[in-house]
Amino acid sequence: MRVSPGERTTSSSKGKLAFLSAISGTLAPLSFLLLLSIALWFLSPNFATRDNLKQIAVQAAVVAILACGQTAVIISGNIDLSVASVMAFAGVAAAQAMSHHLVGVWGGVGIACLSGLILGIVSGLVTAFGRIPSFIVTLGMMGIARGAAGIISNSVTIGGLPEGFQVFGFGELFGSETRDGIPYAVLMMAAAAVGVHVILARTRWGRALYAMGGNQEAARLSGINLRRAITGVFALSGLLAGFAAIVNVSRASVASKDAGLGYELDAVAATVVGGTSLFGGQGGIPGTIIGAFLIYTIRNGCNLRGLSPDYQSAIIGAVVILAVLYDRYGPGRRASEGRT
Amino acid sequence: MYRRQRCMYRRQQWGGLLVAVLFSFALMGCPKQNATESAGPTGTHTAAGGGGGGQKLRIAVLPKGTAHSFWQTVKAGADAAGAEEGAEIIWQGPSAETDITEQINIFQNQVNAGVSGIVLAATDAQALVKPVQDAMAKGIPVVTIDSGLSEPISLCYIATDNVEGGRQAAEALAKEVGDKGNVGVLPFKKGARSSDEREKGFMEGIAKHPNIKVVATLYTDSDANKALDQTFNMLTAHPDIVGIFAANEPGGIGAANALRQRKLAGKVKLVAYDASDVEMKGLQEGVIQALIVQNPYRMGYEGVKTVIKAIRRQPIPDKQIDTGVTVVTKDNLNTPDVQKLLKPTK
Repeated sequence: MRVSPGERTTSSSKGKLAFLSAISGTLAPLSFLLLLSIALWFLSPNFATRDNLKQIAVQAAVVAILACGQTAVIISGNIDLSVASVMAFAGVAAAQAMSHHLVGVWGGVGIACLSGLILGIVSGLVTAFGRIPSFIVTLGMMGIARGAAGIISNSVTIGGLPEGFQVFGFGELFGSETRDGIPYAVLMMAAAAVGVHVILARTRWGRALYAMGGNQEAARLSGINLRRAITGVFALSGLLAGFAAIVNVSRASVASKDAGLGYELDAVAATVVGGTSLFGGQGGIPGTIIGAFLIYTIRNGCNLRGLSPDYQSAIIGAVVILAVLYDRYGPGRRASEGRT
Repeated sequence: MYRRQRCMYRRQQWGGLLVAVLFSFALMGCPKQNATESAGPTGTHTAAGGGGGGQKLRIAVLPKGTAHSFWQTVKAGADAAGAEEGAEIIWQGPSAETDITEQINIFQNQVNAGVSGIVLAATDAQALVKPVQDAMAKGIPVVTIDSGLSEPISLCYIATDNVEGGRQAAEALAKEVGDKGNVGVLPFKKGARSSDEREKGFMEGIAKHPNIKVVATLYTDSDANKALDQTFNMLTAHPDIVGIFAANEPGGIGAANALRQRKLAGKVKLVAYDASDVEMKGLQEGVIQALIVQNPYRMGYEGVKTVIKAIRRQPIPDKQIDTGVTVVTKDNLNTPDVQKLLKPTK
């Protein structure tokens, strides 16, 4: 945390410092996002329309939800490479159940969240109790989940979902034929963001995650139950992967074993662009949301100007590197870092 | 807050703005991708298209993928039609043919960009239904090519009759193997309409030849490397195989490589779909015996022409256009008709 060594903190300022820690890293990506938006407003006549801006938010929702879980995991000093595969599995599981009329819309929601949660718990338990680096555990889970998704779907996309399920991807609160509302996908993204932010900034568990990411041994010595915290954060990441699956499947009207290819890296990208350090111990949700929006604004801008997805990948990759370099070596870092 | 931290935050803010300004300049420098610059014999855009007055039409042509030469030929056809009509063609495809969400995002972005019409090859027949419905509700006509939708909502579907293509492949392979023996099939994706139809057509065609038996069906996921592995598996499991049908371009390339490596070129007969340069070389070399060639140029061309008809509220005579298949062997490879089909832009 950006606190000068030796500074004493009271319990009321702990919350403030956590919040400041969260937003201080966001000023750079935020200004970048604003300037990019202004530039696109001049360059593309249709960028600043309500429909387009709403579209960016809806398109960013899935990765943003995944990124919220990823942020918590990264803050704790770990990484979750399996989020996209778990999302694919959760989507396929829910779709199979719904298309065979075993459950309705809310049953599908439940199955998606539950599958994600269970796989997340498994990753967490293996990481915590097996004392294996999360990179390796989640790498394995990535293969297991993706493979399982292919097996239970027989490699075919699963359609035939109940019509009510479309609401998550296309429905809007207060919306109707004539009026614009707030897309439910955006509300779900907001819920995930607020939920994880509250956990990180306001609960003991959240503070434990920051502590673990900063110095795992010190955290353990200060009485934090590492195993519970690690299992919990991966469970959270898995649950959010299931949650993201609902939006993803709803938008596509089908579940596919190939859903979200590469999204785990997009989630990491959104997290680090938003100011969270890959080494753990600092960062927060506000930056991550900005990071997700930045990525999808770049994509949207490229689409509007007719640039292919290849340009998009290259630009986003460059932005990620620049963001991390800026975060590491830019002004404001040297003063507080004890880390080399 | 401590003074030092306040200083830090302010410096960060200015630094962030500097990076942002530099990047915005860089982005403004990026050229606007204009597909019509590559097409058209005249080399210039004709002024605003006839019959509509005022603004130039902008047509989004959204393929399923962009990598294979099949799609490059679709683009050539679309560009040619665009040049003829004085319309701007925007070409955008997802990075993988299986990336459904990316195509939905591209589709919705183009709708918001206010294009006049859309020509679409759907990555998934069900997933694109709602986006197309929304686009048509907004008054943007949509025509589908190559891979259609599960519901008949597009204004016109322009594609190969893939069942017939599969049947023709069966006839060609039967002829090559002397009407008897065991054969294998390499479709690409179960559930993908074009793959299923070609497989179905092939099975129907082979059923007419009682002395030929299909002993293996392995899926290649439209990946040449996977096709290579699957062919090896097929040859190992069934050493007496005399013929193989590869249902698309990567399948053909992979199977041809496998036959070359096992020194079975010409001994195990290979019939493949599509006609990329690599496949054509294989045909001349003798490792591929026949190619089932579609007409992607016509798909792109008719797609754009039809959607422009819809934009101008002209009647569309056929709701479905079959662009046909041609069986190409070494014998008819150099006839002018076949050459025109294989190299429509030259």
